[in-house]
Amino acid sequence: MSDPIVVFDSITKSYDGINTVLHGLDLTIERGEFVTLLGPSGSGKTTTLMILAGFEDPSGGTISLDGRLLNHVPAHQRGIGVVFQNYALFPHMSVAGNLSFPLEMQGIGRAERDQRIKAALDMVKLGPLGERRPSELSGGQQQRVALARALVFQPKLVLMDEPLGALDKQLREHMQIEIKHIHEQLGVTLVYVTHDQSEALTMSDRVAVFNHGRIQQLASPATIYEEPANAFVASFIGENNRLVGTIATRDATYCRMALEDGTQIEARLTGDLAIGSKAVLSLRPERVMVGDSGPNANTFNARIEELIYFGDHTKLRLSLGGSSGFMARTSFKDGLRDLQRGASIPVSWSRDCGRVLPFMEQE
Amino acid sequence: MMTRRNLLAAALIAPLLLLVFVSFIVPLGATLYRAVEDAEISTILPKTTALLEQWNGEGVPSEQTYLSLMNELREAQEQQKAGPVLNRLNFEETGLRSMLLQGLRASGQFSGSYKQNLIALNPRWGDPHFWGLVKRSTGPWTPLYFLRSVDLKLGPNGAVVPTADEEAVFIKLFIRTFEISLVVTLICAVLAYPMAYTLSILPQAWTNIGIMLVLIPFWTSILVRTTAWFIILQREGPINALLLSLHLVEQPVTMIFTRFAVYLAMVHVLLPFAILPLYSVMKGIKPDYMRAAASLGAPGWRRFLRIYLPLSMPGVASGALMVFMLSVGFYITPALVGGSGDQMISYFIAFFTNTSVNWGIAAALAALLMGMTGILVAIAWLLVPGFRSGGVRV
Repeated sequence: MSDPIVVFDSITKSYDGINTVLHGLDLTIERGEFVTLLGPSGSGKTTTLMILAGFEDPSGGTISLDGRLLNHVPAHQRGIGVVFQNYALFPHMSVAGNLSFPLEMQGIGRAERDQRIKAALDMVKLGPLGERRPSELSGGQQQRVALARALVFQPKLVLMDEPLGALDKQLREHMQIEIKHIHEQLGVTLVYVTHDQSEALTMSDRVAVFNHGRIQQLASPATIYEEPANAFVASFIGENNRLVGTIATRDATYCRMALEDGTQIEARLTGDLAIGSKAVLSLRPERVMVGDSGPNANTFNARIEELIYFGDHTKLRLSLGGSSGFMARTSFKDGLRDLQRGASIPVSWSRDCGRVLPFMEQE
Repeated sequence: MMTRRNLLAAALIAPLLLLVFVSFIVPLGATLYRAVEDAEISTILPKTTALLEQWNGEGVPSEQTYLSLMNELREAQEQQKAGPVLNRLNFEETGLRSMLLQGLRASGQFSGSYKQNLIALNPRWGDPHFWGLVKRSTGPWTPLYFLRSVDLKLGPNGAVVPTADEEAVFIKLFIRTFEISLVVTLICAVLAYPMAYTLSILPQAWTNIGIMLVLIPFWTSILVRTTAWFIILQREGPINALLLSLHLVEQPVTMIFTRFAVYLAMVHVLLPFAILPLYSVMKGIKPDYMRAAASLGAPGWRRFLRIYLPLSMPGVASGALMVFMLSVGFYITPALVGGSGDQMISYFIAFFTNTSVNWGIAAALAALLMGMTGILVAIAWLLVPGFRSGGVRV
């Protein structure tokens, strides 16, 4: 069942008429969805958010909210809540004053305002702090006020621009869960911009991976991680082994890719690649099994170059098929084994774990 | 306990304190002291002062007092020191200078009692009121200068009474000074606000050019700029020439020596003082505040009134304060381009200091000007938003 709330149709954006920031962006966001725009800086994700909020005009294409064309609707008439990277709390107003502002703009009476401010502050667990100035609050508290302010006027759509970027790691993880809960509780549609892939994976219903002004892939976090659409997505999300070779044989689903030293690897094929064309194998380090492990399509002997102990797991840097940067990650479920640098060890993985993608020059 | 660090800090700051003391506290104290000091008569006429101390104020003093006054005055005149005494007494009551000089000139031919001769010369010599004034002027302190600065004086019986209408100029002058200053401050604030805003949103390359355009006049001597206005606003100056050649006016417009010229030149001189603090405050207002206000449903004018204006208020306040404080002390610009009805208090302070050499009244006017300015600034501090919240810059 599809109930789109936001539709971007061929949106382009160029600030100076020379460099294009967005190339014909198409994006449909469903009602009640949590969509994350993920990408490196300069990829166009923030520009997309600014266009949606009405702070920037698109150079071409149309954008609609709830079926209403937004192109010429000024920001203050869009009714979209925005949480800014640095919160943008009004420093000359108290916390309650900040929350009251959007309600006053809607002409809501004093009694109802007070009641809604209280409810919003309770929701973000800041009940007694209404009379404080933003400058008297910690970073995490300011973050909550910004969140409450973006929600208090009950917008259909809330945008968040790297809202947790300024918080320390522990607080960030805590707020991720809290934002997720608020989203589930209110059923509001949320568009979230981040460059932090773990944030994108843990919070979103769907992730749009941006690079160079184009959406590289738009899918659920699991799909993005397990089935990256191209080499950029594969390398941007999570850790990734990247082996370059050419297609030796193929059928509809699988192929064998030959590395430079002749080693052949069997893996799932993504995209239409002809035999003989240059390709990249993408393989997650945690999918690599270290040591003897039954029959597998891909079993190789690798030499241990380096061992990095992390406590809950160990990373191995291996030399395999002529490449010395091949990473494997093992948690030693059967107990710690005595591995030595320079030793030779069998490694293997299922053909469904590796994905062969069209070759792209790495950024 | 003073640690080494504290001692070092104190030592480093000591020259600054010394400078403040020498260049600010000492002159200020000296000025205030001069405004109430009353030492001319007691130092130049010591014997007369001593004799008057014994006089009970009823009737006229003794023959000896008359004699002593004349002798000491003559002596002082020979040493060219009589001026301050004559000025001091004449300031007490106009006409006393000529009366004393007349007596002095005539006293060469006196035979017998000085007292009778002088009273015969001018009956005022026999008036106890005159002697009361002289006695009152022997100091060591006098409220006279401060009273005169607000158009008051001491009456015959020591009561405070208003001065005669033709002498009552100072209250009008204070009102005029603050009126001109407030108008200039207001004009500067109104002009500087959009200018500073424009500078704050221009692309960097243009901002630099804009700032230079503000700074170049700022760096130019105030005298040069005022003189330029003096030339431009002449009856035969370029503005009138232009208006006449365009047939916009039949007769040259009188601009020089008017209040308009004073406002124009003062605003021109002081505008940078309003623009620069406003610019720096506005530059610090992040665009995200305005975006946030827009996303929360505020149309442009409400964004301005509720967010931008309060956030830029500290800049308005510090700019206005600077312009006002400088305006209050303006001297050269009104003197050059204003008429006689446009002169401000500083003009008279300069006049009393340089021309009529009455440092007492000059000091009293200066002290009052400082006090009143301080009170006005304190009122603004309490009433105007942004004055106290000057720290709100996030």
